[in-house]
Amino acid sequence: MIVLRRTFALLLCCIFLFGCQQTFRVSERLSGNREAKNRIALMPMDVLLYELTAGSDMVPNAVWTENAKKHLLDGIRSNPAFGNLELVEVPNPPIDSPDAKQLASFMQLHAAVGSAVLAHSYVPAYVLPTKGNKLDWTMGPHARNWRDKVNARYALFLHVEDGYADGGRVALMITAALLFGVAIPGGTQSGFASLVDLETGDVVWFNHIARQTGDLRNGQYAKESVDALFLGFPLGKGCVSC
Amino acid sequence: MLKPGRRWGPFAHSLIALTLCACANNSSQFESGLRDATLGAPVLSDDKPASQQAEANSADVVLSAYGISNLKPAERPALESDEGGLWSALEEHERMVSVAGNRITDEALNGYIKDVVCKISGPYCPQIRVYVLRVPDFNANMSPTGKMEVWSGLLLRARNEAEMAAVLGHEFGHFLRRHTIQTQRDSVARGNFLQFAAVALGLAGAPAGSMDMMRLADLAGRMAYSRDHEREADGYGLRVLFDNGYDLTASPALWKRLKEERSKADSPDHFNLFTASHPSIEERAEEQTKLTERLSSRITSPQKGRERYLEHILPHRAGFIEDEIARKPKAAALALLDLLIEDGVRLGELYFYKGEVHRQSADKKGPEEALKWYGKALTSEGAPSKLHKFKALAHLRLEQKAQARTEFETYLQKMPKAPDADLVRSQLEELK
Repeated sequence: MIVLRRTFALLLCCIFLFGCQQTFRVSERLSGNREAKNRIALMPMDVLLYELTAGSDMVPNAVWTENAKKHLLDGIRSNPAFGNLELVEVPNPPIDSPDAKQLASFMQLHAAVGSAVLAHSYVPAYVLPTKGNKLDWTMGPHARNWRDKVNARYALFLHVEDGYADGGRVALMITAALLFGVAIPGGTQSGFASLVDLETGDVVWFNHIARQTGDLRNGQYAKESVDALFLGFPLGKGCVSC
Repeated sequence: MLKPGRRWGPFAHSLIALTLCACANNSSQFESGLRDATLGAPVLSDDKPASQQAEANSADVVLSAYGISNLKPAERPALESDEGGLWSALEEHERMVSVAGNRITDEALNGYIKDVVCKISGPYCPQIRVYVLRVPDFNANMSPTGKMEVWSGLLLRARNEAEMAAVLGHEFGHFLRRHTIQTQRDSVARGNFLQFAAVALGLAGAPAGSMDMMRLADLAGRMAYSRDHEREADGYGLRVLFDNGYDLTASPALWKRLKEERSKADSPDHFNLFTASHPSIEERAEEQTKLTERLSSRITSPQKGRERYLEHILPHRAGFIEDEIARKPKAAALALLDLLIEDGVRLGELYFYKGEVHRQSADKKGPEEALKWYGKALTSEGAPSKLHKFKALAHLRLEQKAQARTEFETYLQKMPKAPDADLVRSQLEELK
C-alpha cells in the first residue's frame, strides 16, 4: 500500500495546487435512505504518520500512526453525519493468511479505483470529457461478495497520510525564514475517503483533503480533520452540506 | 537488495534516494550501538556440531575481511523507535506484495525455495516469509521484518541450488545486519547535515557551485555506505555456502556470468563512484574468487544441488524466458539465451526462444534467422508444440504461403484445443 499511498500523495499534491472549491462528490446512483439505520463496514484504515526531517526524509512513526487510527475512528463515530448509522470495523487479519489475501486484493482494487477518481475528478488536466465532474465509478459486481462477508450494505474506505516537521526541520524552517526570507514547508496532511455500495460496487460518495494544517496525533484536532473529510457524507441523518 | 530494485517500492527508494549527504562518522556510531547490544551471540551456527563450529569460526576469520560481526536481528523493535515505525510501514507494504498479480503461488516451487531459505537461515526460518515473484531481473530482496522476495530473473540465471543459495544468503545478510534501519538513520543524518551546511554556506557567502559540490560529496558518501552494506552481505552469501557444505565456487561463477551477460548485452557495468549503490561486478567476482580459494579446501564433497534445483525451476522456465524477451532489447535477450544454452538444459526450448527473439525483431533478416533456430529446436529435446505456429508466422513474413500452411496444420494437429485454434483455422482458410 505504500506504493499506492505515494500515488495518492502525488495526486493530492496536484489537487492542493489547483485548490478545488467543493471537494466532495455524490453519485447519482446513491439509493440509500437517510432515515434507515444503514450498516457501514469500515475497512482497515490505510494511515501513515511520519516525521519530516530537515533533509526531507520521511521517517514513519508507528505510535503516531496507531493513535491516529484511534482518533480517526473516534472522530467518525462522533461526527453528526454518522448519527443514525451503524459502523462495524473490519479487522486486518495476519499477513498472508487466506482472509488477509482476499482483503488485501479488495483494498488494492479500491486503491486503484480511488486513485482514478482522484485523478479524473479533481485534477483539471485529467478530467474525462464524458464523465466531467460526475462521480461515476464502480468496483464492479464482485463487490457484492463482500456485502455478505462484512454483513453491511456499504463499505467505507479511508486513506490518510500526515507528516510533521521534526525538531531539526523546525529549526531549519525558522533559520531559513529569518536569515533568507525563504519559506520551507512543514508536513502535509492529505487523504481521501470513499463510500462503496456493496450491492452494486458503485462508489457513491467521495471526498478528499490536502492541506498544510491539522494534526492527527491529537484527538481534538483529528476531529476537525474528520469533519473536513466527511463533509457531505450522504447517508446519516446529520449530513452536513448535503 | 542485491541490486537496487525497481519493485521494492518508492518508500524504499525514498529511504535511499531522498537521502543525499555524507558523514561517515554516523554509520560507525550506529553500528557500534547495535553491536554492543548483541556481542557474542552466534548468528548462524547455534546448533552445529563442535567440529563444524570450529570450521565456521575459522571462516569467521577469513570473512572478517567483510567486517562481519554479530547483531541481533528479527526482534520486533519497540513501537516508539524509528525502527518500529519502519517495521509497521514495511508490514503494510508486505500485504500488497502478498497479493501481487505476478506472485508465483505454485506450491512445489515455493516449498522448495522456502526449504533452502530455512536451511541457510537456521533458527530464523520461522521469521522469514518468502514471496516468489515473476520479475524479469536478476534480483532478490529482504526486509528487516522477514519478508523475502525472490525474483524469477534470479531463478532463471542461477544454474544450481548453490548459486541461488549464495544470493539468498546475501539477502539474509542484509536481514541479519539490519541494514535497512542503518540506511534510514544514515540517510536522515546526511540529509540534516546537508541542509544545515547549506544554511552555513549561505551565511558565509560561499561562491556559487559550492552547494553543488556538497551535494556531490553527499551522494558519494551515501553510495559508499550502501556499497559497504553490499560487501558485508556478499560475505554472508559466501558464509551460508560454507556453513551448509555448498560448492563455494557457485558464488563467483554467478558473478562472472552476470558480467559476461552484461557485456554481451552491450550494457557493461560502468562503475561510477557517485551512483553505484553496489560494488562493481568485477570487484564482487574477484573478491569472492579470492575468498573461495582460501576456504574451498575446508569443505569435503561440496554440493551444488543441481538436479533438485532444475526439477523445480524447469516447469516455470518458459514463462520466465518469455517475460525477459518481452522486456529486453534484442542483444540483451540473446546474451541471456546464449548463457542458458551454454548450460545445455532442454535445448529445444532455448533454441525456440532464440528464434522468437529474431522473429519479433524489426530486422529484415529476422524471419530467416528465426527459421534457422526453429529448425535447430525441432531436432533438439524440449521444443514446444506452439513452435509450429510461430514458424508459420515467420514463413508468412517471407511470403512462403505453402510452408506457412503446412506449419499451421502441424500446429493444429499437435494442439487441436489450443485457445487460438479457431483463429489459426480461419487463417488457414485465407491461405487456401
